[in-house]
Amino acid sequence: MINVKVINYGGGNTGSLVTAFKKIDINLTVAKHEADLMTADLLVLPGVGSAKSALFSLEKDGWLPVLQARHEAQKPILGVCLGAQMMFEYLHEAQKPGLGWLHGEVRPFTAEPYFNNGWCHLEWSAFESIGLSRGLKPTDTFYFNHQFYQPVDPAARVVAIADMPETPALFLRNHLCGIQFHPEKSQHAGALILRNLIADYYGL
Amino acid sequence: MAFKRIISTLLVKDGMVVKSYGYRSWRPAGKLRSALQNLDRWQTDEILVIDISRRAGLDPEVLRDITSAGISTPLVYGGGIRTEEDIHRLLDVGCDRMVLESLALDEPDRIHEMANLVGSQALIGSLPFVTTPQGIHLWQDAARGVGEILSHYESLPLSEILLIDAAHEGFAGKGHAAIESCIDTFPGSKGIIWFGGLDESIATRLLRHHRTVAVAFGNVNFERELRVPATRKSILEREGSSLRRTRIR
Repeated sequence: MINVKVINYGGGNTGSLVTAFKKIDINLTVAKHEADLMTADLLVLPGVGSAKSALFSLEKDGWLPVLQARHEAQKPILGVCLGAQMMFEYLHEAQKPGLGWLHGEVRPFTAEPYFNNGWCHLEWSAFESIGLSRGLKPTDTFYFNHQFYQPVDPAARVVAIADMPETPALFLRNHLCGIQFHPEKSQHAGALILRNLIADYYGL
Repeated sequence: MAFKRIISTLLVKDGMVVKSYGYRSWRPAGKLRSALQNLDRWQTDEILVIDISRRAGLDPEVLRDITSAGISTPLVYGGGIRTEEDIHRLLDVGCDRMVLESLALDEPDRIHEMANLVGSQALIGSLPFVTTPQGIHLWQDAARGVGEILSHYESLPLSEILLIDAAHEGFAGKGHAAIESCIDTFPGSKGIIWFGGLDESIATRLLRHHRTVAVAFGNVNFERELRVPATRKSILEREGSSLRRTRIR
């Protein structure tokens, strides 16, 4: 059985993630101790909220050192929405550094409507050769809810792009995966992405 | 740009889903958990739960129902949100966005605090209005015009505005006639969610407005089995390009 953990630092929709993983027959549980973060096959870093509040909570609750240790050990980490944004060097919203695992600054949308709230198509890039879109149709849509967008780290593979300009929707870099949309709230299509990611990319 | 959304609204009173008529009378319409699961199965774009019980604080029974429903459809919650603790509890049970009314109207500093906590993309300002000889104004407060409130909301960290035709809420085909004709004269550029008295024809027309991000249906969701996908199909036939297509399994 796959051991998948999620960090509950008060800024994430852990309940929805647990439900989504249950639908693909994976028992996602909340990490209670630092050791949970190192022993998990996959760690989910969620995020619904403001970057400032999320980074503060991660630091206050003492998760940062063990998160860094897991990253340095190159163990799989999946960041969702703000969880993916926190992997970058700097977060404009928080006006402070992120986890620094990827290059670039997470910036706000600068043109109206200043938000991306709702359902978008994904455009799959040339990097999509690992089966992440297996079972999906071109008409499938995914739920986004954000006002800041990820930069493109040249070392990462941007696998999917939302049809709002300059908005990477899914990137991979070795053991890291960042998803800007909410697979846990993207109905059947979101569940397919999670299943494909875990089985085909991480091989779990 | 994201697709425009068709939202399914569930009004909850004392733990039960109700059909509401003009915010004045209500009839029981079923259990929240099963209503959420039905809407999730029908792949509605977003579910809006509004607790109209006017109780102090969030209803634990409602939160339990949301958790146990286990849905994978975006969920918006409104009603009785007062504190940061409320926001955390709503996130924990799987709510993605929150509708704020009293705080948005009267305590703007609190909206800034909540935006610092959860991000303004997650906050929606509610504006229930009525049309009277005095003009179009806040429901139960003729002294506060809609234009004034929209201007006020524009200055707050809110992502969208829920514009509720309170008098016609529950009466399909009656809503938004007066405000629709003058919405362009009001200030602001935030996206609008229209709710109250919509039918497929009105919704289709409103979806063509540049400020519209969503239309929300309430009572009509309960008229018959599979009404939600039928409504989507009908509006798609009239206004297909701005809406997503779903695959119901």
